[in-house]
Amino acid sequence: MGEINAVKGERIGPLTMVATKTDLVKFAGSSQDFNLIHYDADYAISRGFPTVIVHGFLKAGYLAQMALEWAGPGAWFSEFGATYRGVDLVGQPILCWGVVTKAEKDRVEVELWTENVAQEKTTLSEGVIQWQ
Amino acid sequence: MILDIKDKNGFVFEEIGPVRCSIEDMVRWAGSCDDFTNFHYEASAAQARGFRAPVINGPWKAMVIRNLLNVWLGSEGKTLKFSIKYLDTDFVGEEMYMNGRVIEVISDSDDFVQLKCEIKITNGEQKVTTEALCEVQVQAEQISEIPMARLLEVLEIGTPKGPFVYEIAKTDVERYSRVIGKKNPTDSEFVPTTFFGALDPIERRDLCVDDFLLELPLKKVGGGNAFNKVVYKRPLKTGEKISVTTTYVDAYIKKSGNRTLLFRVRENIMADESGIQVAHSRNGHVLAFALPNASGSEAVK
Repeated sequence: MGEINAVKGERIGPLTMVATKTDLVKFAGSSQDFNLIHYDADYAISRGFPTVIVHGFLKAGYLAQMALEWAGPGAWFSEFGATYRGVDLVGQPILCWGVVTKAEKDRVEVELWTENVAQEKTTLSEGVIQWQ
Repeated sequence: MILDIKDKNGFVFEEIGPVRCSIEDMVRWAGSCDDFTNFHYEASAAQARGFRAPVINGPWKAMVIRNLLNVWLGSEGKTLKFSIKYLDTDFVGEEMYMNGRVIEVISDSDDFVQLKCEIKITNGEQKVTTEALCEVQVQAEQISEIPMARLLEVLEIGTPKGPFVYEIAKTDVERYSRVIGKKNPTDSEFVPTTFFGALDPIERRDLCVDDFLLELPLKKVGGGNAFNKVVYKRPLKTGEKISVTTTYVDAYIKKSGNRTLLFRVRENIMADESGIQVAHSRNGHVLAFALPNASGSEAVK
């Protein structure tokens, strides 16, 4: 089992991601989430969005992956959750952040979040990282 | 409006008939439009012109057809275009049958529906005597609230659905990993943390129970995933077959400013091929509506 020398309050990130329409289509294909709000602008507008929006799961995926890259080989989330507070639009930067909230020898708890260009938190996440 | 939104195209109206126009109808018509051509109400005048009975006014039939559309559509429609062909004569006292159908949905918005309708009048010998085409705009079906009773019925709260069996394909995992920014997409057999969402029959639309919400004639102002939470017993691995059982556990409304948020919450139990539970997730979808007269910020369960 691996371990990490993390301390409470340690920052994770930042990581900036920009989801292109191609990314959204690739994500739709690999996750089987073909909701039109993620690639059909006319439909997204009819649903009350300004244009196509980034999948919530994709934003959560950015956050989880960022934390696992930080945690190193063998790391995996035994618990992970995300709450979506705001939409992120295709082609706009998404800033991913995280912080260690509890650090033990073989277990780390983290909070993660995304921010849009207006510095509004659009995704709030938390999880428990362990090592295989 | 009597038509369900999704049923409009090709909708056939209920036949009306037999209808018999009376002499009184023709006299009233003559009086109201100041057309006293007598073969429309006087049998002898009609016979003198070679007709077996008084002839029904063409404009009277046009008026009947336009009124019929309102009867059929269940509301006062606004006629945008109207054309009529008189193919044969209809006579006072004889049978007529009115038939109509929607031949095109020209536009369909939250507020109005524009339809092209074809209407025919057939006589007792089943011969079409009159054909009309009408483009009419009618107000869309109006509702002011989310139909929670219908929603709860289709969600079947507490009733498990499935299992749905999904194989975690290597190509999907690699593509997924690249999109979420994994630096070495092929360096681990563990699937990405959030891949449990790709094993969700609701997200995959293998289970579609509440699609009618998107058809409601209510203004939508957003929505999508509200939250997801997963607890893994162990990491999922590429190539595994995972059985997923989905259970809706809650549905509720919250008001936020002038938006009404409808949440549907479900839990997924994921098991491996041995039947051992490997993960459990709780997921919420939200739809946001701008309902008439919505205000306040209280939660409504």
